[in-house]
Amino acid sequence: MTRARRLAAIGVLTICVAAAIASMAAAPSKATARAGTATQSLTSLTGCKASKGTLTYGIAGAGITALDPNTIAFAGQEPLQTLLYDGLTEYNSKMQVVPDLATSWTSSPDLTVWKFKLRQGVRYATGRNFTSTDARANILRVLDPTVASQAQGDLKDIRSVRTNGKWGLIIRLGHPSALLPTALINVKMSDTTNVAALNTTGNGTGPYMVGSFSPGQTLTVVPNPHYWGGTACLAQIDFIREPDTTSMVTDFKAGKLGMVWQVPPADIPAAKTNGSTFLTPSGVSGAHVWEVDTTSPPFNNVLARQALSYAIDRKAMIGAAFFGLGTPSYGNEVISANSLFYDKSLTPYTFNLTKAKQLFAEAGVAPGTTFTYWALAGRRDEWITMAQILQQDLQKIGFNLTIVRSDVSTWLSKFYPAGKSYPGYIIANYFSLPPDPSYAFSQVRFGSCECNWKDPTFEALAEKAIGTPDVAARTKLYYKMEAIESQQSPVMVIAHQTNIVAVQKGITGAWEDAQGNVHLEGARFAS
Amino acid sequence: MLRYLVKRLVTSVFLLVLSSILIFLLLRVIPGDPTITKLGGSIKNVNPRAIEAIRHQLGLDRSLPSQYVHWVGGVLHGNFGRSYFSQFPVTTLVSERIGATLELTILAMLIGLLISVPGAAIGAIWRNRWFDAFLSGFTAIGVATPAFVTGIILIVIFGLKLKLLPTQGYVSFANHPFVSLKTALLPAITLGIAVAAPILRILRASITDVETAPFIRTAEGKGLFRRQVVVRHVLPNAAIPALTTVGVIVGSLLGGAVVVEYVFARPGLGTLMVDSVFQRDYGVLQTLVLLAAAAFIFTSLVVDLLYGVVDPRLRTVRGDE
Amino acid sequence: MSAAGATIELALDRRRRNAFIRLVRRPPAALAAGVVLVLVVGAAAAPLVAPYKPNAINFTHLFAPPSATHLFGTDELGRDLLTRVMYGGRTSLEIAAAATLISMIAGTLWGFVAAFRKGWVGETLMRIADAAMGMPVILLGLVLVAAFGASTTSLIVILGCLFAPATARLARSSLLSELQSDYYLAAVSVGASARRIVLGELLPNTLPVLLARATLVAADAIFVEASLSFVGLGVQPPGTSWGTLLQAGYTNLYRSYWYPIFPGLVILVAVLALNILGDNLQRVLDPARA
Repeated sequence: MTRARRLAAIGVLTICVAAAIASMAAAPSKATARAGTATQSLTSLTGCKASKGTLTYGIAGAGITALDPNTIAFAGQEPLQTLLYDGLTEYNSKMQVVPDLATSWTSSPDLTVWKFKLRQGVRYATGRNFTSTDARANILRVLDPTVASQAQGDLKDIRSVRTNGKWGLIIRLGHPSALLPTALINVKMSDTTNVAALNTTGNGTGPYMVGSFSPGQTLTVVPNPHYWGGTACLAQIDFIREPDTTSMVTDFKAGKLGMVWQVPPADIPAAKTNGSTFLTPSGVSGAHVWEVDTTSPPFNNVLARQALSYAIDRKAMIGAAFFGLGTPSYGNEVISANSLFYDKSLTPYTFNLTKAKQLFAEAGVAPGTTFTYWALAGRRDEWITMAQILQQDLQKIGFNLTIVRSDVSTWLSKFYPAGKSYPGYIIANYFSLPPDPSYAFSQVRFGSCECNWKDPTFEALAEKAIGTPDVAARTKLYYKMEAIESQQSPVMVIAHQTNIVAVQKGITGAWEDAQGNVHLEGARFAS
Repeated sequence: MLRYLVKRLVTSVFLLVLSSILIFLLLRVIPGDPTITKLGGSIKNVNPRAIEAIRHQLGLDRSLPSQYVHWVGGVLHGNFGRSYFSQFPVTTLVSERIGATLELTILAMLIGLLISVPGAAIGAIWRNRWFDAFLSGFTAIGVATPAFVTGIILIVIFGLKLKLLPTQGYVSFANHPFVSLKTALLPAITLGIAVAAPILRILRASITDVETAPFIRTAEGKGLFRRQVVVRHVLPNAAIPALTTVGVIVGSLLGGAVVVEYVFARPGLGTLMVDSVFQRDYGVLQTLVLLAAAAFIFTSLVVDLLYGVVDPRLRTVRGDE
Repeated sequence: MSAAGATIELALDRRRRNAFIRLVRRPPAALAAGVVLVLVVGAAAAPLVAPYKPNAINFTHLFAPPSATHLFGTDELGRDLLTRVMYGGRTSLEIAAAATLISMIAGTLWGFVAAFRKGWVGETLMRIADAAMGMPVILLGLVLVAAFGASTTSLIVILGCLFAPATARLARSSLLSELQSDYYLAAVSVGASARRIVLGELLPNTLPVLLARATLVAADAIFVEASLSFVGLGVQPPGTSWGTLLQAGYTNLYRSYWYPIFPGLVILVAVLALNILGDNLQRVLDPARA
């Protein structure tokens, strides 16, 4: 075998390994090796001949205020990530990582050098060509410490990004990572030649572009005439902000909205009208959690955290707050109990007030102590239902819980960003967790987690897992991490539950990923 | 008269400055930081340098007096700044939404007057016990029902059950006048009822007052019809005290529109105001408060001047309220 | 005391004493007073007469419709709504009463000082009141709740402060008109002390107007508290007020439509009764102004 052929063989092998890892990361059951090539059917191809109809999409309680895809602050903005923009890679509906603006990729055997081939003929909505310079600029922007990008944490190991001709990109990592293509999904290829205008114009390469934008209220997107993947299926999509969930459901029932996002579980029966359906994601990885400060009393004591976990009546909470829709996390674990990566042998925190009382006593938390439950006002009423159950249960063992609802700014400034001290607070939050355990775990890792938890063994295992290409070996590492997380209980995980999205009859092609993000790029009206 | 006008204008400017300082300080005192809100809870691993960069970009790293002076300086040059969140100029945001609010308030005022003035007149002409009781009931319930309750009831009846009228949104009047008015109807009725009730109340009270006046008895003695007496003599005179109420209502309509816009998802200034409170979008909020205060002060000025026109006695002696 | 002053006082006393009887003789006023009384007693006696414990969760009876066991039905945690409406009344009425008291005391002082101190002090005081009134109530409410939290105490103080400027304006204008009156000039001419004049003459004579204003402020306080609850910034759970119950009911409208009806009705009735009472009080106590 000549040197060149040997290299080629290694290259092909790495393609297969890398793609296999990427796809297995999300769905280990479907461990079919898929090469990252352009020949497979792309999620990005619209398959529509003409753009028809207007889809109205309701969001309750808050509106879309900004369009920059790499500094997302509001989950309601997520559908735009795939409507206005493309990444180098993307998820398909089975949560497999597939090519998007990159047509194929290879990695060095030690998983530190990655080469990407970019798609040719891609243009921005303004008509400008997309090249490797744009890809590089976007990745560098995400890595810029002065830019608050949601993808920065997952890409922090990148050491250099180089263009390799007009359609090639070489990325070098400081540590081996088998998951770079997964991490790159979140870097959207916006037009960085005018960063200042990104938030207002949303210039990308996606199937749609901004038609009109009234920030915080309505956003209208229309087909992007320069889209590389065919004609957009809809003539228009309107994102409409509704004052609250009841008004949203009312307008959906009246047929004025085609789709509604984050339907409260209480309104599911009401939203079932005239043959409407609900999106069913192929897995649920988002979770309702309670964060505590693990560096200040009383929750700096692991026994106090375990006590709190035992005091949580997860079953009753799911019944009353989510009408039974949700998977309880008895292991107190960010990985869903339904995930194939979940270690079923974890000791469950079954609701047990006697044990809670005993553990609180061992932790030196005196009865009569008052905790503060910190939640949002006017949104997420289910958190308040959950809190009142905890309040009654804690009272039975002699502890008090004060419930405080605040507007979003007050709520955030109490515990965010990581590093703040909030002794005695129990903060309700929702983690939109990526299906890959490595990235789900990063939510509880030091520097990311507002719980301020730092466990050297856990951190070391996490680094090791990212650099482990073999899925079975990696799963073993995940099990070890789960055991530590469950025992240490840095955050209280109540239940894994997704965003409920209702769709009117006649609308097809929309889907929801495991993180609860809605994909409208293929949505259309059935003819 | 001119001296009075100048004095009023000077106090008005003083009032505006006072309002702007008041809201500026209030906003800075309350917890919550636009920088943090802008980042949003979903961004993990945020670098302290990113926070610094945003603070600098928003001008929040300056001292408070410097921030205020900078803002006032901008306002004097017609530059109201940009929204911290959407990056749009505040003037764009306001001009984009003022149409929805103006349409709603004008329509609501019209509906309010269409209910209250004929109502009071008919009550005065007809002098029917039952109609009187009906009017009293309407005013009492109109004053007592929170706008969001009226709104929800109307949404359920007309939007959901009868499916007659749109329940949310806004269509520009310039583009589709008819659809625009149709969309504005339910919120305008909601606000109109809230406007009509207090006007009706004050109008009826002052009608009772005026009717005992000697010149009315003279008019009646001349043998005029009841209708003529009411329309020509009673109503115009009774309208004077009602004018203050109308003035106060017009001035505070922007505030009143907040809840109604919220319930009917109208992209108006009210919704913008609530959002900017929650997000701590200081620049937007300061501008809106300035606008609301200006509207209030301007209308009370106009009402005062109108008083002079309607009632010449008041031109020389300035009574206190 | 001079003879002239005594006669004036006597006449005014008679006017006030008769007022109560005249008020009760008006059927709507009597009815309104009765309603307010029932609500107050119902709220005050809630711990004694309420059929259930206000926070007793019952997972087997979520969203139960009205029945013999639960007259108003139950809520999202199976708690009895009649009980919660009664307990909610305690909070709502407490907030309304205390906020009214604060607004009346602060506003009257504010207005009186402004009326007596002509010149820049009075002028400035009134302009501050104007500036505060120029801002939408709900906006100030939101900002202040964000600043001081939504505890019952802070809601009381916030609402009290919100209504004080308008009270100050009214107090000032009614005092100014009293200052033109014959009895005041008489009292001054007979050399009565300033404190005596204010406490003995002016305050009692402006009281009718202020009292009528107080009932309207109370109605407004219930109203604004409900509006703040509507955006989640009212009384915090498990504490309840009519406003928070209405909000919770509205959120669960499609689970049980009767849930928001009862709190909504109670708010309506309470505000209605207070308004009618205020109107009638004004007519009886101060016929000239009504």
